[in-house]
Amino acid sequence: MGVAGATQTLAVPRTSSLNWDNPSYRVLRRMGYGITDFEIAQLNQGGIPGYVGRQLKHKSVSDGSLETIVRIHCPLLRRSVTQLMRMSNDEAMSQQLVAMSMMRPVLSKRQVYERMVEFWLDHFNISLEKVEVAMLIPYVMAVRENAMGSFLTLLKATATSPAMMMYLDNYVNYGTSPNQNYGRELLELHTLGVDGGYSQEDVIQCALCLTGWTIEFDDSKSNFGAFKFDSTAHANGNKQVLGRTITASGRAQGERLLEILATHPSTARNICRKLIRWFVGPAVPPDLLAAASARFLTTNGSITEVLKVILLSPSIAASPPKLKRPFHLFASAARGTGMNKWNVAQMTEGLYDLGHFPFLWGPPNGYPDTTAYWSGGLLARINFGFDLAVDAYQSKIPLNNFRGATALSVSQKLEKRLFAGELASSDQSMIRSIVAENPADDNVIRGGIALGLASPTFQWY
Amino acid sequence: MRHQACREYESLTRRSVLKGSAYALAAAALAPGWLPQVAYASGGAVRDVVVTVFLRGGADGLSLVPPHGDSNYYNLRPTQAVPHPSSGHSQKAVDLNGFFGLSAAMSPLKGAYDDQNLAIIHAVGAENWSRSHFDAMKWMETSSRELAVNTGWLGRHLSMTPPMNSSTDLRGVSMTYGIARILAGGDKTLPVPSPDDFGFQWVLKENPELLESLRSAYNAQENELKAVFNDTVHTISLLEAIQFGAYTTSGTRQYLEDDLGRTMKATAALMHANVGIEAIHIDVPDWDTHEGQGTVDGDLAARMTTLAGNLAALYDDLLAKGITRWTLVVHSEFGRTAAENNSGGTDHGTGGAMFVMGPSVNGGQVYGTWPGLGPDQLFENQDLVVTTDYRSVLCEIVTRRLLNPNIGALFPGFSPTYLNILSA
Repeated sequence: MGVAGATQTLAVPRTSSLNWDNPSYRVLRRMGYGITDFEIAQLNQGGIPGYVGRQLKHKSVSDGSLETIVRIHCPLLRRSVTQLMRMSNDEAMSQQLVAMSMMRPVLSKRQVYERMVEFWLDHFNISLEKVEVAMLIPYVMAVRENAMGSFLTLLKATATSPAMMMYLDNYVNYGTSPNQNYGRELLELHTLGVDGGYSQEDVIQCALCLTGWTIEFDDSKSNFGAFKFDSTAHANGNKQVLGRTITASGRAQGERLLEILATHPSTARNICRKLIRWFVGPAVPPDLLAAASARFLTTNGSITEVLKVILLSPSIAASPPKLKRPFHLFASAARGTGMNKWNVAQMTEGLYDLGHFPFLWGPPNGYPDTTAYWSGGLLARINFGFDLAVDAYQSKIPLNNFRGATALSVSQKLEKRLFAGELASSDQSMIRSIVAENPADDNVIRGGIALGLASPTFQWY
Repeated sequence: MRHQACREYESLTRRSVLKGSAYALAAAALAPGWLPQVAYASGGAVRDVVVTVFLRGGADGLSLVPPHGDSNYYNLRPTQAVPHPSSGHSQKAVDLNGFFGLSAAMSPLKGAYDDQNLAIIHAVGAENWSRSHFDAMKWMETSSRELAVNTGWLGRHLSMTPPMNSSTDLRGVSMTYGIARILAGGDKTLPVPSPDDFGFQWVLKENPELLESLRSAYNAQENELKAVFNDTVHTISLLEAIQFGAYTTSGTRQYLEDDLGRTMKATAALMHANVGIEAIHIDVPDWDTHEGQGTVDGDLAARMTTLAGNLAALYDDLLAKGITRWTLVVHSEFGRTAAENNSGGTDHGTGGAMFVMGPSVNGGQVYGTWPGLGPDQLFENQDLVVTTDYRSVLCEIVTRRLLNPNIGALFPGFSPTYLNILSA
């Protein structure tokens, strides 16, 4: 008897059963947190290629009012690690970090960029269970800064962050007694991948290269809490990693290691495979993986160049829908309803109940991105939609977005805002029949919103 | 240097959990009394309910069950050894058999061990080729080398055996937000993070016609969410009938007032309700002790205290209630390095310890072959050698207590060596 489930394929909906007829919309759904009027208008300027081209130059996409909101409400996010470490208002820090992390994906016009930030913060996961928020804030800002640049720069930003030193114990990686935790995850998760062809000896040598990479713990120093290289803790001498000899010494040794890793073919493959899973789906087309990996290597790990290959490939429009992770569900619900402010403390409770609270995944592999992991949590998802619709999180939905003279106009507004007008006919009947009860009654409109958010179609993207 | 993750943040994010327990307390006051058994008519084979407990992060078997009789233990662990039973230390090991002991923090389990209902297997684990958490966990939970296999061995067991109770709506419960991989692929199996707080939002409760609309919508499409929706609805009615809030402990030991204590108590309530649940999975996080592990009176000791205290409470409770058909297994993806590192912690290792508890366990013994901790006895000069494959232990549970002879489907390509930890 064979292994049950060995050839099991997950039953996901077909795009046709959700009436997702417009191939451009299928791509837009995958590149962001829900289609709004802005994205639809963008299609008129060069279709998907034009949209992708502009999104990849994300700094040119204006986010003016959002920047102002974040600047006013989240001032602590601009502080240095030393300034934050000298403060004692961790609660305000956490709230501002989480508020920013929830607001930007919802309100930003730079949707591809925000999807990439989410991707990298899982790839280079750090948990607040182990790292204090004063260190996490500059880390998140550094990842955001480098999310669309060069992979090597991003890798170095994470490797020289006190948050990562703390999270994976490199701050106690001494030459006399190496701590392998960061060295191992650097190879297994951050770069080469578990099948990337390294040995236990490579892990040890890798850890040795990074001995002395630590944090300034002396609070009398001006760089208190920041990354520092401690040459007295560094294991001197050449290192052999992946069959190559690293002769550089001191801090340069670790930097050379990161360069070797960031440009390694296994890394190209590992990162591209994960990006394809992120944007396309669990079935990775071999041709696309080969093309993306090749681009990664020829451009020295340019993230935007790799994204061009993936986002412009026909694979996205041809792939079956992906299940939204709970954070995505939240963000798309907030975008769809037009909710433009919310009570962060209340809303985070919703994310907690959904099992997808920002920065609370303990192990370093990041929140999963699989249907198998998240589909069982349907009850929490349905409840979340209903809570949102009745303002249970003290986060008001502007009902004016949905009011209309007739049942049909109210329903169509719901369908357009939540689904870009494309949803399963059974979901459409469900929404239309409740709205028909009394389209002038706000509670009926809320019921329509709730059913929309809790509907089968809304769970996918 | 501040070194604690922000406590305010913790309390903020944990509030919903606390809210859940307040709700449970209120229900306890109002409920008409514990409903004895919401049982369905039983049919089919009578198998044990299996409870799997996974210590995530790689638990240090040499601290859980210290080999105090191996002199190398104290050489390798100058600061991170459990003090010898004959020492005067207040946190000294409790001796089990003259060679092994339980750490003081684990000593609540001594009762079950003395009752011969708790067996310990040492130097147990998986053949390890990467010392990676994720590789090791995927391997242990799926027990298949094939990358495409994402179902767990326990999930496959549930999918290939007829239900013990043919009318049941819920056979497998993963007490986690997402389903634990060990149970993935299981028939009628759901993640239920808190069984005492699993129901629809109030609008849906007060407006059954809305729920009916959703039921039609979810059943109109053939995809994975259809089955999840229907299983969820059935599970809600099943769990509501159990009335967790009114469940009272019967043992002399109480469950601890922590997350694991609430989970263990809910486990007992599920088993006592006898509604056809066959498998319950519990995750216990944070065993990855690279730094400042605190074996004797620090973090690791605290984790062992909650683990052992709650396991002992579950044992007492089930025993007092006369529930006899259950087997519980505790395992972890790997053990840790034999020597402590300079950070007062231990790194990823190989061999570790497993526990099997239940009325059918031939307990009161430490099973396995001790490979020694001497310089030339370690695996790759650093880890406890694995002398018992974890699958041998699980195979015994599967064949003798879950009455499933088809271990080839659960553990492909493996030939177990039975240690006779369990009676058939």
